[in-house]
Amino acid sequence: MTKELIVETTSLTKAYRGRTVVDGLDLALPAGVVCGFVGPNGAGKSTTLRMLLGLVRPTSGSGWVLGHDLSRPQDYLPDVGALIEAPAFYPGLSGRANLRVLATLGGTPAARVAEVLERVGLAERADDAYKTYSLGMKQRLGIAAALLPRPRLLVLDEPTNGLDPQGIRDMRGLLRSLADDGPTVLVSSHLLGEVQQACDWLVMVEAGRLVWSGPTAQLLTGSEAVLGCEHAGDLPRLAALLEARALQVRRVGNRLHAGPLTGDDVLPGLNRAAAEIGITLSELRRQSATLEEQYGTLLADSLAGSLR
Amino acid sequence: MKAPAALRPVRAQLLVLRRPAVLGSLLGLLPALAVVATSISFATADAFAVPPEPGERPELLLSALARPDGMTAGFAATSSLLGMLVLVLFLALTAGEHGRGTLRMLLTREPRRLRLVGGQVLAVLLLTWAALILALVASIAAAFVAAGLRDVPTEAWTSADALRAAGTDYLRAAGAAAGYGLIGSALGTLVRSVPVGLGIGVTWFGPLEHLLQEAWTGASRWFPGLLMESVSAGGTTASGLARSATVGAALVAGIVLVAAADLRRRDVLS
Ligand SMILES: Nc1ncnc2c1ncn2[C@@H]1O[C@H](COP(=O)(O)OP(=O)(O)O)[C@@H](O)[C@H]1O
Ligand SMILES: [Mg+2]
Repeated sequence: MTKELIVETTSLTKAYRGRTVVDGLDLALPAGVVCGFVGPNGAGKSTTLRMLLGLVRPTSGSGWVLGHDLSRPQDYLPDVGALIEAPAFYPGLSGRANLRVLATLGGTPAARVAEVLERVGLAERADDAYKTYSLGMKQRLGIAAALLPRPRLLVLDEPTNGLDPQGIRDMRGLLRSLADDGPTVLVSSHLLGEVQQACDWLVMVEAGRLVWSGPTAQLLTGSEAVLGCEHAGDLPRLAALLEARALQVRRVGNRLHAGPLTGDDVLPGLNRAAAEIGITLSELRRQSATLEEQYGTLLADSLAGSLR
Repeated sequence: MKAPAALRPVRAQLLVLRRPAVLGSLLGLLPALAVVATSISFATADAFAVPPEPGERPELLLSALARPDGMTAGFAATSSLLGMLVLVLFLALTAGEHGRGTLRMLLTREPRRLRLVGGQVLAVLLLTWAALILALVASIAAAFVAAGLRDVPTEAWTSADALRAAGTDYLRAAGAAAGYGLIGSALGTLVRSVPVGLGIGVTWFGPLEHLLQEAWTGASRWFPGLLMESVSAGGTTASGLARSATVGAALVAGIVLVAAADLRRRDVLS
């Protein structure tokens, strides 16, 4: 099965004055996903997105967006909507006038302006000058601008950055509803909790390198088994059994945590194996590690890898 | 009917400029300056000739003001003043797009950078040329008033020659404005910062060229600002109109090409 790739890069690299900030990134983003692009501040997320939008030229490597080469952004940007870092508009113009400028530039029918203003909930303040807007309103106008061309790919760079808790909640709701409209969404964030709920695909980067990418569900099944047994004295033998199956084991009180679990069929096997050596389990369940914990391990692994 | 894609940046920029503050300052300031310069020309015109220094414009004489081209002599004198204003305007436009970050938003809708910035510059240039027409009309009106005050006969001003002279003066001013505008845009594109660009542009085209002119006689023949002043004044003794226009245009084309190459290549990081 070959799925259409909306974004693809091979060894995409960017160095600023000799300092590599995006380092051989291989991305493959299937159509229709809502992809969280996650990494700590300075990981190279914005730089990567700028390369995808033709604003920054890769130092080496190549990439394709909607099937077109990165070196010809005019071929694919008509179908891409983007908000990179903070929104930037003409302060003296109204929100509506600012969108009209962008619509005229992109050849978008003027009627679309009112639609997107409505979509982000700015219709009422659309005729006020941009400089009078709150941060959340500015951000929403930025999203409205990204929606103008009815994009097949929507790129949003940390859209909740700098917002207050209410603004963040509003923005999350807006993002969820945008995904329902059908475009492939690529949204960056340094906050994992945010993407864990909203995204079905994840790309994790650190220090310009890819750490992990794939379906969010797959990352979440990298969870652990929690085991308890009738007789606490059996715990050492149970631990040995789990270790023999290449699981990492740690003891928490009278329970053992063993992971990572690779598939859904592991637990019955464990139950049977324990019974065979005469251990009766009083508890056996799967516990999903939160993304944050997973992420921590992944980062630690990649860090260790680069030290080796 | 849909406009051709190549014209979209021009139309988009006209939407940006369609603010009362922008239109008012551009369409009001240039005519006001032209009226002031015309009044000064008439007030300071001499009755007797003094031979000009090389590179200096010939002295304005009351008798010269009575000739067909006297009607727009004040307007012609304005255009060297306009130069700096136009330079600052275009510089603020191009460098401001970087500083504000609006350029990266615009580039997502029109990624062909030369087409985008070229269209923006063309839009402002069209507006500047329109403002110069208003300035010409205002200056002619002021000239008639001033002529009455200084007893300059105006019979020659209503001839076909006067109309032709006005047309020539307008074209020179429009040409000089294009030169200053393109230099301002190129500078703004290269430095990407309004304050830095203003510092460089105002220093060089303001005092520096004129100071160097004192030290080096070739300055009047080779410095872009002095050449454009020469164009708007209809030529100087050091560099005639045709030469000033040719060399000036070549210098402007040079800096525009450098800026265009830079714009195409450089990362947009604001
Ligand atoms: N124009 C630039 N010149 C030099 N270094 C830069 C430039 N832009 C970004 N960087 C550096 O590149 C790294 C990645 O930045 P960025 O892509 O903004 O990361 P993120 O968006 O993940 O926070 C950072 O260390 C940053 O300091
Ligand atoms: Mg960033």
